Amino acid sequence: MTPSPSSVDPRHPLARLLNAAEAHPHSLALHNDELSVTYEDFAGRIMRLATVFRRHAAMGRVLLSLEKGLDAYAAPFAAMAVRAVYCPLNPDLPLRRRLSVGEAFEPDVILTDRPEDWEAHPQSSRVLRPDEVDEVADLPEDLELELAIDDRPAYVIFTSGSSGDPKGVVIPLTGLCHYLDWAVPALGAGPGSRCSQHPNLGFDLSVLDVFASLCSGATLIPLSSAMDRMFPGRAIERHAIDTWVSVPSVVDVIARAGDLKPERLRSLRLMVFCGEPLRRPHCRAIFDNTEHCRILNTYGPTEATVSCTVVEVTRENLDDISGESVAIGDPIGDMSLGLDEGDEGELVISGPQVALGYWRDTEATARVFDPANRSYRTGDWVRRKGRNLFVTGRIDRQVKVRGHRLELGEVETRAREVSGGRAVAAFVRDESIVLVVEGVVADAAEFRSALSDVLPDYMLPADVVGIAAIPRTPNDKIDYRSLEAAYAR
Amino acid sequence: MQDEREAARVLLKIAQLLDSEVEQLSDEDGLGTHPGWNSLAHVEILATLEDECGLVIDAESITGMGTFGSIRQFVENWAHG
Repeated sequence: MTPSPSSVDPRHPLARLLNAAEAHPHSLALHNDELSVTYEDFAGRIMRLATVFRRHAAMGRVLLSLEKGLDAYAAPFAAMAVRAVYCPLNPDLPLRRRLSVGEAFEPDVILTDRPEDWEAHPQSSRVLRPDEVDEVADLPEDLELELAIDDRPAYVIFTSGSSGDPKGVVIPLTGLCHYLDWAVPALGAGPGSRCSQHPNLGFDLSVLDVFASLCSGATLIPLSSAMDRMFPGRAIERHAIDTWVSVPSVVDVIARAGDLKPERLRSLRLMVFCGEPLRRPHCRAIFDNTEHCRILNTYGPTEATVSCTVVEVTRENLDDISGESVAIGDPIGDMSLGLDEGDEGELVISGPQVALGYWRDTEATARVFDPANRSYRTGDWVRRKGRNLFVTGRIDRQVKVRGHRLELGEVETRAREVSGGRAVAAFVRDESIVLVVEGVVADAAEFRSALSDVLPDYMLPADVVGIAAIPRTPNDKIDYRSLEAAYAR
Repeated sequence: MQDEREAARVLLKIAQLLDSEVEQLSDEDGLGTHPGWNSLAHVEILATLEDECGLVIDAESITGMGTFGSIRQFVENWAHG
């Protein structure tokens, strides 16, 4: 199973992994209460899966809907080994949604812990359970690996489209490799380090922790038990995690569990945030409760391969780079950022990490991608202050209320300040703004009056309501659709 | 000595975390069945029970404390214990 050197680009994810496995065969690749897999065994499993994929999906499509076990991490590498494109699908999504992704992707192979869920799926796909792989696979013979890097699709991740149908973002291998050129050294993990695996595998943020850890010889710690997921601060302590990757709101979860304290977070060396705005209180809380923990803030849409900017937040620069949220930083590698209207406007991203487009949807692709410039219009509204860029909201969250154009993100920012940093969400119902605040709102009129000191009248919410916990999507982002449905009249 | 008043105080705290009142919560209300009781609220409830009553947070208590009925019973046992 040793690839012939002539066809191997050392930047290829599988080449990186195999190098790590050769150098540190007995180091742990995966570790938690249920899993303990050495690099040697991990590489062996990749080859076993690759044998099956070669037979049933060579140059084809593999759908992975797996719990956070061995195969969930090995199968993406195995798909790349046979030049297949893989689609990771969160197994906790509602069945209908999973089936609609399956229908759109038309996989040759579906690897899943729950084959019974796929009975309604067309029989053209071969559905396999991880434990069936051994029956199907021959002993891994010499697999000719061609680990060259080109622009063919590496993975497709489906995100929710505004129409309600899932949209598949097609990421080329060149994009993934460009990202890893930044991610592997940025995480700086290696043999002996222990990196969290918090995001679900259908959320592209998981590309960062999974690949940057496994391509460097570090130990990846999948957080899959209810205990680890609900109490991330205790998971950090229990698993002695030194490298953490997640959305920033996980810091709020740690705080609400009463775990923002040095004894819980002592092992942390680096926290990398992505996926939603990082805020000054998040950073302060981390700096106040850790001694040597660095913080990287990153930004990027799925359409530009996980993230394409970075800034290191320090105790010294925190105030300088914080506005309503922490600045998104500078583009990585060969990526570049542009604003279409001077110092404020929609952010346009270009460079090798930009996706090839949406899966089998030329119309949607043409609306936001410009293949000639390898660029993508993000739909994120960005403001430049000095040399810092701040994401201030979504273009599609600009609304018109009684004739006034306003940004719901701005209402939320002011409301968050007035509430002393609580999570808030604003949306429009019947031509007026509803503001939902996490926790008890003892006096809505008083809250509104405090807001009137900082917002013009037309931006004031007509209703301010408390909620025990703002609903979030499986990717931990505010779930506006559920909120709007819950508060619909 | 812990007593009924102590139990009532803790249950009031739990109800407040759910933006509710003790009288409004039924024994069947719980994680996923009460509108405000999602996993984040559950984290806070468990942390409160840990602080107030010495609950040991583990896989068992995460599911075991999944309804207001089981929490009421746990708090009352604690208060009388």
